[in-house]
This record gives sequence, C-alpha cells and structure tokens, in this order.
Amino acid sequence: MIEVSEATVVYGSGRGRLEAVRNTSFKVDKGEVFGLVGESGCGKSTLLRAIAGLAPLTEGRITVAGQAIGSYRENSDRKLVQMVFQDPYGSLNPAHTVDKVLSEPAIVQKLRSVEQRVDRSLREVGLGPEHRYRYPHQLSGGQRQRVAIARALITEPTVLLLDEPTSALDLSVQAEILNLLKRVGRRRNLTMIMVSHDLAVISHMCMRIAVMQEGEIVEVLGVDKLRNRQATHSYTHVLLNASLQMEERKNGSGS
Amino acid sequence: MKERPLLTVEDLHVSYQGRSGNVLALRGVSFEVHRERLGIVGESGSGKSTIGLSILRLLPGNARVSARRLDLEGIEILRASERTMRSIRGRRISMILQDPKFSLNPVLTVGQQIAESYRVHTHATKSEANRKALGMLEAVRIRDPERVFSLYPHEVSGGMGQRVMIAMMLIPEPELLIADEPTSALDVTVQAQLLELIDELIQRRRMGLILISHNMNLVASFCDRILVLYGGQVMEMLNAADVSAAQHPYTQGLLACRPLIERPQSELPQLKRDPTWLGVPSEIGVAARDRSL
Repeated sequence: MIEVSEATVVYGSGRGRLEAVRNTSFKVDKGEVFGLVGESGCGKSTLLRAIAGLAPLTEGRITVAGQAIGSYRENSDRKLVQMVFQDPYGSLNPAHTVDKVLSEPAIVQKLRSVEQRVDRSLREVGLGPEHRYRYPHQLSGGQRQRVAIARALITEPTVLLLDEPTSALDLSVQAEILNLLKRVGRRRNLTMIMVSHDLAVISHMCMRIAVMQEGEIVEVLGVDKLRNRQATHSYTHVLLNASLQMEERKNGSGS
Repeated sequence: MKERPLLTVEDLHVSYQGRSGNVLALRGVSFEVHRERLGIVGESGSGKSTIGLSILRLLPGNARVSARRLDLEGIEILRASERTMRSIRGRRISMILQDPKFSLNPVLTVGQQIAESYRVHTHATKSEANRKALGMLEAVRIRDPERVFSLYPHEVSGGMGQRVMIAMMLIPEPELLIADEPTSALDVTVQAQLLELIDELIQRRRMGLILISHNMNLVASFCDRILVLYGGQVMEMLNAADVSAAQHPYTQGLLACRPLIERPQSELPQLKRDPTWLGVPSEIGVAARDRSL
C-alpha cells in the first residue's frame, strides 16, 4: 500500500543544510498499522510529512497505492491519504465551527450529502449533534482530537497518518483516543502509520515498528520481537530500557 | 514525635471569575507536606496546577482564594505582605514548570540567569554568583559547564533546558520544590534521567517535593505519598507503596488506562468518571465531567 524507497529529505543548504531524513526504505501492507518511533529531532515527523506530500523529497521515491508522492495528484487521489496532527489546539481553525471544519473537506472533494456525512462522522468518533455547532475553544483537548479524526475520516481515506495524536493529552484521554483509532482502523480496514516518541503507545497500536535515530531507520521489527527483547540494534534497546524503566521503577528507600 | 510539617493546607478553595460565571477550581483541598516527596495526580482541569500556584500566590487576578490555613512554617501565606512573598518565592519555595522554552529568558545566557537567581536572594558578588552557578551546572550533571554557561536558551535542548531550570530553582537552596509536569515535554530517555536527578538533589538537601502530574505511574514510582485530585477535590491520599491497592475507582482508572509494553491488551480500559464522587450539586459535577471528557 505504501512504499518508501531510499527517501531523503534535506532542509536548507550550505552551512544550514540538514539531512532530516536519510536514505530510508520500508513498505507497509494494506490494513497494516506501522509505527515510527524515536526521540525529538530524529526525523520521524518529517518522514511522515513526506509520505503525506507535505515535505518535499530530495531523493528517493514514495508511492501510496501505486501513486508517486510529489508528482501531480488528482483531488481524488489526495482524499485517500489523510493526517491527524499532534496538537488539537493548533490544527483546528479557531474561527470555524466543528460543522465547518468537517464540511470543508467534503465540499472540496465534491462529495454528496455533506449534511449526513458530517453527522455520521461525528457519531463515529463518539461526539453528538450537540457538538456540531461549537467552536474549538468550547471543546476539551480530547474532543478536539476527536474532531480532527472525524475530519480525516470524512473523505473516506484508505491511509491514515498519525503524528503523535495523543501526546498532548492526559493519559486517561489518550486511552479513549487510542481505542477509537483502533476501532475505526479495524472497521474501515485502514492502513495507518503512527509517529510517536512513546514506545508503549507505539507497541499498543502497531504491528511493526521502525526505530529512527538521527534521520535513519536503524531497525524495523515486529512488535512481538520488541516485547521479547529480540531487537538487534543497540539503540532500540536503549529506547526500550528507558521506557521500561519509567514503567517499572520501584519506589526508592524513601525519606 | 512527628516533625512539624513544612507546609499545611487546610480547606483551600479557589474559583476563577469569568464572563460566563465562576469556575470552581479547588473545593476544600487539605494536605500537609513534610520533607518528603508528595505527588499530586489528576486529569486536565482537576485543579492540580492551581494548587501549586496558590501556594506561591501566583494566581491570575480573576482568581478568588480562601483557605482556613495556608501555612509555611508559621507564615500565613494568604495574609503575608508582598514583601514577605518575595522572600518566599524562589528562596524558600521554588517551582519548575513543564516547558523550559517558556520559563527561561531568551535574551540572557543560561549562566547569567542561574547566577541572577542566586544574587536576588543573597548578597553575593557577581563573581561569587557566577562561580556558584558553574558549580550548580555541574550538580545537574551538565558536561562542560563553562561552555553551557554562556549559551542562550535557544541553543540548548529541551532536556538541558530543564536541567538549567532545576539549577536555577535549587541554587537559592529552597526548602520546598514544586515541579509541575517537569518532564512531560521531554523524550522518555531524558525523562528518567531528569527525575532521578531531581530525586537525588532533593534527598541530599533534605527538601520537600511536590510533583504534579497526570501520569499516575510516574508519580507512584517517584513519590512517598500521592494525593489524587478530581474536580477540585481530593479523592484519596495514599502511600505510593500501596498504590496498587488503591480503593477509589478514579485512582484505579488512572492506573489502568496506560498502555504497557510488556502487557499487551486489545483495548485500553477507559476511565469512567462519576460526578457523585464530588458529592456536590449535580450541575457542578456535570461541568467537571464535561471539562475532562
């Protein structure tokens, strides 16, 4: 479904030249949930943006459903790939009601029966008609992220790209959003790529995981391999141990 | 005999006045802090950050605060003069916030800021303060402190920025440190190191710590006691060692909702919030529930 081959993204030039993503390759099958994990600045979000066509490729090739990213795409191809961003406060226009936020992509895509679609997608993400004419500031962080997911789903995409969709939320709200994403992903047989710095979130959601460090993918492994400590790259172990340490650290002697 | 608490909070109420009426942020919160590590846990909107700000009297102008007692070793904070408060803020109680990017002054080097934080509270000369600041950078385990001293905040990483904040907050040797989500903006690999660092420094200095976070597991592993907050009220106070035996459904829900690498599950347990926990008129309960939904 998604094929990334030898993709490189370079920002700036001369002394300010930065290779954010270097020579990365991987494939994601239809219906698979694939994770990109790494620390801040490792290039995971840039790689996701490149797949969405939001960051220009310097070298290499990315195809989604056989279509190369970067070349001219028809509107009908664009609707197949949708994205949910990290910050639900920054990714919704504060001057638009939920209704407008959801209608716009449907109108741009010239879809029929926009009214019913908005209503249906609101319900799909667990919001009711009472939320439809509210503004983003009248919603909680979790509700806003639900709206962002509804907006992504309204064009009936086959690929959903998730950039840290829960890292700005409380853990309790994160659980609700992750459950929601899993449910709609399964129901619609979506192919998803999820970016996160949180290995626990990635291993909960994804079947395979690519570990990134300084712009490169150092290892791609199945989630079971990760759990059974069968990672081969030392950096994967560093990340895993840090995450496990946060989960398991027993209380010290106390004072 | 039990030692006298560092800080006593009794029946603290805070409300924010807005155009569409009052929002009750805290409703009768009571607790004590000794020279220990106290965790305050709750979701967004539970009032946990309001507690930290009330203690330092840093709430915005539209806040109304009342308490039977808000007492720092004999000083009644709500009635103290502004002059007294200045001698408390930073000197006796200091605070670390979530994102160092917004807490550091972008036009001063980090070394200057740490030294300034020392000079404000002592009569030290500039060179003494600089020397002390360098020592403090070393104490927060920054390699090459001389070089980092002369860097500006935008030139340091998030983790290093938070180390700088810790150095700045601990240099006047306060008795109580309030850390409000000190590591939420940072990578996991850095989070663990920073919490260990805070832990080590406050233990060595025999300070009190209030660690505020929405992450129950994190608080449980770094604190001695935990105060669980929901809708501006204390749901329960428990020893961190007993956290797995927590009785309150809210505490249990907060513990369970987190994905764990080694315990895969197809769906995460969702927290069910019950306004009757608040034991107050239903419209307030509903408002609290809507906020946290």
